[in-house]
Formats: sequence, C-alpha cells, structure tokens
Amino acid sequence: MNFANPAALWLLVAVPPLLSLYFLRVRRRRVKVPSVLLWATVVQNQRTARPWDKFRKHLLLWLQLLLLLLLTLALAGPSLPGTTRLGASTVWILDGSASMAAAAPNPSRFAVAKDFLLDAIADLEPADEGMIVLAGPEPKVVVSFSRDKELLASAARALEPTSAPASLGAAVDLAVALARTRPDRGVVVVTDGSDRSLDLALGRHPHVAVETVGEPATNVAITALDLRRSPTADLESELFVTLRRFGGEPGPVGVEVWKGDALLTSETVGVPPGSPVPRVYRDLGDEGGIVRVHLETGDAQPVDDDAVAWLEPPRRRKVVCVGCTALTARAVLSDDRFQLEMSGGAAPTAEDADVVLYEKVSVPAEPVLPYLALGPPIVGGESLGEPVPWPRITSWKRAHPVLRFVEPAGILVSEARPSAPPGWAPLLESDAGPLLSAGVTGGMRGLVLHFDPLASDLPLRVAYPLLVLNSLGWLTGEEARGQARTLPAGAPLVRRGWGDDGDVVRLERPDGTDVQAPVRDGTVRFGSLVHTGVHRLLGPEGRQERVAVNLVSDAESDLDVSPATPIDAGGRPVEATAVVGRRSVVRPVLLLVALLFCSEWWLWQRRYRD
Amino acid sequence: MPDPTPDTLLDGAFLARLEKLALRSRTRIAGRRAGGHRSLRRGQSLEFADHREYVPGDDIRHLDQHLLGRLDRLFVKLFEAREDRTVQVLVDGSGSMAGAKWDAARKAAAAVAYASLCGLDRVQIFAAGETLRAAGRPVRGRSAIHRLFGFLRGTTPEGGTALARATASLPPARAGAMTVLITDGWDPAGLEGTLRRLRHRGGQAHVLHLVDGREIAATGLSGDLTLVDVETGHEVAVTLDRDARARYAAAVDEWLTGCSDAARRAGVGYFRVDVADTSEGGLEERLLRWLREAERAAPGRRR
Repeated sequence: MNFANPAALWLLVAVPPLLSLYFLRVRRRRVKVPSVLLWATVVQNQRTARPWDKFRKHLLLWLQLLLLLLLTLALAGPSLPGTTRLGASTVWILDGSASMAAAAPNPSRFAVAKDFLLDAIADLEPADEGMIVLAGPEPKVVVSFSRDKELLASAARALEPTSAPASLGAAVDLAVALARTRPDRGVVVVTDGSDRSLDLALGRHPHVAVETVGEPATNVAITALDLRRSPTADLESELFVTLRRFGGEPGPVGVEVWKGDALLTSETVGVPPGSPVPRVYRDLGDEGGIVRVHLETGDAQPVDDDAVAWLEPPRRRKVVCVGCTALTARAVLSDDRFQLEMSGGAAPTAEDADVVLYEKVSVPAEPVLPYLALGPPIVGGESLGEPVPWPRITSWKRAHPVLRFVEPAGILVSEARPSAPPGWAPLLESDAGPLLSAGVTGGMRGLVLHFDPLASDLPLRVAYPLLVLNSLGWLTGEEARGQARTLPAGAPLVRRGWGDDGDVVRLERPDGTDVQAPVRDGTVRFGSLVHTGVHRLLGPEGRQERVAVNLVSDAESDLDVSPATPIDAGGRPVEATAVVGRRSVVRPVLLLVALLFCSEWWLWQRRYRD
Repeated sequence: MPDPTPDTLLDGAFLARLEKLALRSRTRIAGRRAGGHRSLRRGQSLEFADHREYVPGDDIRHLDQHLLGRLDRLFVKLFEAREDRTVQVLVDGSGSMAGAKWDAARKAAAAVAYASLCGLDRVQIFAAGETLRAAGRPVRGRSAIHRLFGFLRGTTPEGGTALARATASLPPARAGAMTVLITDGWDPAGLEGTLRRLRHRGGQAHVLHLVDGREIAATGLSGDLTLVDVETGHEVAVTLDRDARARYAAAVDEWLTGCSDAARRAGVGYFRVDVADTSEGGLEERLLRWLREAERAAPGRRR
C-alpha cells in the first residue's frame, strides 16, 4: 500500500494521548444513591458472569482507536496495487503504435487502453493532477499536468492510434523529465508491449509502471514493399512485396495488386508462420500512379494488410554529350533510360536536355544543367591544376550512389588533375588528391572525374559504364526512383536541394491535410510520417514528388502480447520497482469510518439508554 | 382535632379519618393506666368478665353476694380492666430516607401517633439514625400531637443505618405495646435481626416498608457511573447497560421478597408503600389501609 500524503501518518501520534485520556479522565458520573447494597451485588455478578466483559468494557475505546487509525489512513491517501493511480501527479503514456489498433480484443487494444485511462482519470482525487502523453514515433504531450478531470477525459476520448511504430522509450524519458519536479509522481505506460525500446527505458526508470493491454492474435502482414527498376528493362519497374504470418497455422492468403482503380493481378499465396514470403510483381504498366497491394486476410490488424507505392511514369532522360568519345557514348546508350544527343558545338540549354556530359572539355562557369565532366581541365572557371602522374587510388565512398557496384581498386591512372573546386566533396581519392568529386557550380549539381578515361585503364573495366550510368542517374535523380520514395511509417522525410533557405515546402498527407516546413541549409525536414499512404511533396517552382508510407514493421504486425522486461544498457534484466498502477482506497476507508462511527454511536446509545 | 396548618404534617380530612379509625381499633392490651383498650388483666371497669373462687387477700368488695346466697360458696367477681397502651414509633432517620421517603415516613409516623393518641394510647416517637433520638417521654392526649409533629418536623434524615442497635435501645415495652418501624429497609445488617428484636420485645410489631419506585427502577441512571452510598460513602463503579439493569431488577425483587419473608418469619406485620406511586388515592389512602390491616392483625381485636 502506498500513500499519497504520508505526512498524515503523523496523526498516529494521537493514539497514546487518546489512550491516556480514555484511561485517565474521570469518565464515570458520580451519583449519590440511598444505598449501594444491591449495586454491589450487580457489579460482582458483572465481573464474574462473562470473561469477555473486560474486553466489552473497552469496546468503545477499541472502536475509537480503529476510527482514528482509519481516519489517519484516509488522510494519508492510501492506494493499493493493481489499479490505475500512482501518485498525486500521474503521467499516463498511451502506446499509439499501429499494433494498438488491432482488434484483439474488440474493438481494439487502444480502446481498452482508453478505458483504462478514463478509469484512472475518474479515480483522481481533487488534488491530484494528470498528464497524457501519446507515444507515437515521437512522443506528444496531449494534455499537460491538469486537475481538470473533464479536460483530461475529453482529451483521452479523442485519442487515436497512429499507423506507425511508437517509441515508448522516448515517451518514458519525456514523461519522467516532465514529472521530475513533482514530489509525488508516477508514470504509467499503457501498451501492448510491441516496442522493445520500452524495456531499456524501464531499465533506466524502474519506478515506471506498465499496464499491458491486449490479447495475442494471429496476423498476416505486408512486412516489406519496394518498387525498383527492372534489371531487364530499364524503363520498367518491379514491385517487391514480402508477406509474413505471425502465429497461427499455415494458410493461403489472397493477394491483390492494384494500380489506381485497376486490378493488375491477384493470386493466392501460401504463407507459413514465421518465415517471410517474398513476392515480385511485374508488368505494372507504362503509366505512373499509386500501386496498392492488398491482402485478403480478415485478421485483427487491418493496417498492415495494405501497402502502397508511387510509380513514376517512365521517362527517358536526354543526355547532351560534348566532346564525347565513342566509348563513352556507347556506355550511355547501353541504358534505355537515357537518350544520347551529341552536341554540335552550341551550348546546351535546359530545354534541350536533362544532363550534359563533358569529356575532356572545360565546364562553363555558369552551367545551366547538371553535368558530368570526364577529365576537364577547367570547371566553373576554376582550373583543376597541373597534371600529376600516376596517382594511386587510396580510398573512395563506397556507399555513394555514383560508386554503386563500382570497384575502383586497382584502376591505373597515368595522369590526373587532382584538384577539386572549393567546397566539392571527393568521392574517389588518391595519394595526390581527388580523382572523382561532386559539387555544385552555379546552382547545378556536377560530377568531375579528374582524369581522362583514356589516360587510364578504366574504360577497359566493367566499372566504366557503371560509373557513367550511375553518375547520370544521380545527376538526373533516377537513382532514387522507387527507393527513397517508399518510407516506413514513422520515418522522417528529408530532402536536399529543394530550394533555397527560406523557401517553404508543403507535404500533403493521404487524408488531405498538409504540413509545411522551411528549407534550412538546403534541406527540408518533415518529422515522423505517421499516416500510411502516398504523400505529395510540393516545393517552389512547381516541383513535386510523391512518397509512399507503409507500416512494414514486423514488431507492429506481431500481435503477440509480451509484458515489458526492464533491461539495462547491456541487455541485462533490471528488477522493476514499480507496480502496475495503484487505486485510491480513500473512499472505501471513509465509508468504513462512517460505518464505524454509526456502530459506535449505536453502541453508545445501547449502552447508555437501555 | 389539631388545626390543619401549612406546617402540619397531616391535613384536617386525614386527621378526621384517623380519628374514626381509632374508635374501631381498640383492643385488649396490657397497660399501666386505664385507657381505651381492654386489658388482658382483670380490672376495675364495669364490664363483668368472670368469677373465681375467693382466696384470702381478695378484696371482699368483689364477693358475689348472689352466688354466696345461692351456692353458699365464696366467689369473687372479675371485671375487665381498661388500660392504656404504649405505641412506640421508630422512624428510620438515616440518610437513605432523604427525599420523598422521609416525607412519607413523617406522615406515616404522624398518622400512627395521632390515631394512637385518639385511642387514648401513650405514644412515643423515635428517630433511628446512627443514634436513637426520642421525641421525649411518652405522651397522651390529642393535644400532645403538636409536640410529636414538632419533633418530626425538626428531624432530618442523616447518618448511617443501625436499626438493630436502635431497636435494642428502645425503652422496654409492656406486653400489649405496639412498636411500629418505618424504614426504607436499606440496612447493611439486614432487616431480619431488627424485626426479630421487635417481635421479641412483646406486643405487636409492624413494619412499614417505604420504597421509592424510582430508586428501584434506577430511573435517571445510565452509562458509566460511580454510585456513592449517601450513608456510608462507599462507591461502586457500574456500567449501567441492559444486562446490569436486569440484574439490578432481579436483585431488587429478591431483596423485597426477602424483606417480606423476614417479617413473616419474625411475626411482624409488614406493609410496603411505594412513595412514588400516586395511584389509588395517594400516600394517605395507603397509610389508612395499612393502619386498618394492622388493626385487623392485632390480637384481642374487638369483633
């Protein structure tokens, strides 16, 4: 049992004075009677008749003592384990993750959690205060500390779960930080246990209580979805879908693939429990649009039965080649995504092409298009320095899209100009300087290979066409197609190069609402995306992009309910000190006090009136 | 008849009824002076009682001349003697008698005294506390009633009860005397010894037991009490709950029964009056009833 106001227990010091008063005070009324002869007989009989009369004689005292104890108890604000209230200041963290929307039990885990929260709010004493935090990908304080039970209740009733995983650990850290100034505080997490980050948070804050809601249920879900360029047809895309069954018995699942309102294909797939089942869907059509995969499951979690992707309409990018060799031209032409046009000497314009490829030609000071420069002497008016013989490749950025599938090790370069313009990032470095660098000139993205390909053995390697095509894809944005445009729910959306600082980018959500964010340092950031579906990003000068958000989370689709197990940073179990909530028992104690008071009054009347 | 004044214990109507009662209550008694009661001894009255043979020394004036002439034997005529009677009224003057019981006791003593004086008896009143106080020598004649009233009015109940000792201290009574004890019965030594002493003194003995119904029912008492005996100062702590009341009521019943049984065993007339009972004409009516019963129980009562 815990006490909201332990100081009230000091009232127990009144017990000894009460005893003293009871035994020391002149309690008996003195009455003169003609004779006590018969009374003496009565008293003698009273003493010998019943042994328990001695106790009965002090029954009122015992009742008064009990009354005092119960009153003290009531003032101390006792609470018992197993219910909802933790302290005078309680923070309730509701798990707003997608798994809480599961109808296990009906109508949903989140509804059960809200009922728990409403009960807890109803149990608040007048002096108590409560705070509600909704734990989504980012914790959100729904109502700060308030004693207004109606406000808390209305806010609780309006809560809805997100379609994204929740970061309960961050929510616990936030709640503990917000409540740390309260002397009698408690934090209750209401969750189905889907987020294991809670275990670590409980290890940090063992006093946090956890109320686990929900019932285990089987579920079949889409745990991965991606739209990628077809390896056999550069202008076509393939839809990669991973299905997984959580719990239950193996069984068939109907899969439908839609583009817009058109059903592209449907099939029945056997999905065993535990192991993921990958599926690939081709022939998505030449037109762009929303591609939606739907599972016919009828299980308790509908959020993960649908996943979407945005299919960009295929478009060939025009590459204007200035001074290109046949080797380079052949490399460009090997990819259907690009359409090659040799320059006749006139400077290419933005209307003419999507990207310019310079080979052994200086890049103009104010380029109008993104460009790839192979062995240029001058870039943007800056000289790349004197040729350096036999630079030796020392390092490269393996993860950069330009170097995807490219193995630079062992490339021999007879001569290079390893001097990059200021501010440029080296992607491939040698002992003499950068051999491949990326940067911006005149507002245009550029890539510079610091040596003539023919002055090396690079053209003899398979890495050469890969490097050229990767570079063109990066410069035109093609490399990001079907990848960065599909995000897991809860992930932030970050875009670079979407205008200048101060510009505003707007994000339209699938439900029609939108949110705006400014461009800072050339980057626009949107917080965690919690709505599944296709979002549209609208930038300055009519630029737009669509991003699909899907749940695709094993943790959220696994509807098993597991209690939280506090662990420390090393993964070792930590003993929890919190109980799963407490319920105030002030009212029952006060009721008992009233009953005792009535009993004492009745006894007193019976004793003195009969 | 004495004037019924405010300080008179008995009013005029009651005194008149007592006088009528006195006329009917003359019985044969053994007295020193000629009185209103027929004596057990043969005396000088005009009423012939019997004959007996003459023995030397008899007053020859009592020789029956008719029998001497007819039978030629000497017989003397015996006449009933008219003698007075001494009535001793012993009033319990202990502290327990205070209140209504004392008023009733005074009225009862006054009634007995007046009725006795009207019957040409000699009356002596005592107040028995820890010591025996007397109203003076025995008095005769109605005019003496004021003296007795004055004694009763001037006496207040106080001190402890020692009825047995008081009884033993009473002046000796002749045969035919009547002793009346008016008490509430609260005697630590018990009433039985006192009653036996009364009976052994000879003559009639009556006890008027005055009880207060409010005392018996413990009216007005409740809760945790320390009961203080007004006579002895002894204290008894009692919690007066329902059970205690029941036990007390049983003890009272047993005590009252014991008192009447003790009187019966001692051959003493016993009459109990509840001074708190205002029914049946009140105290005076019950006193008259008691006096009539006492008269009926008296030996040699005139039929």
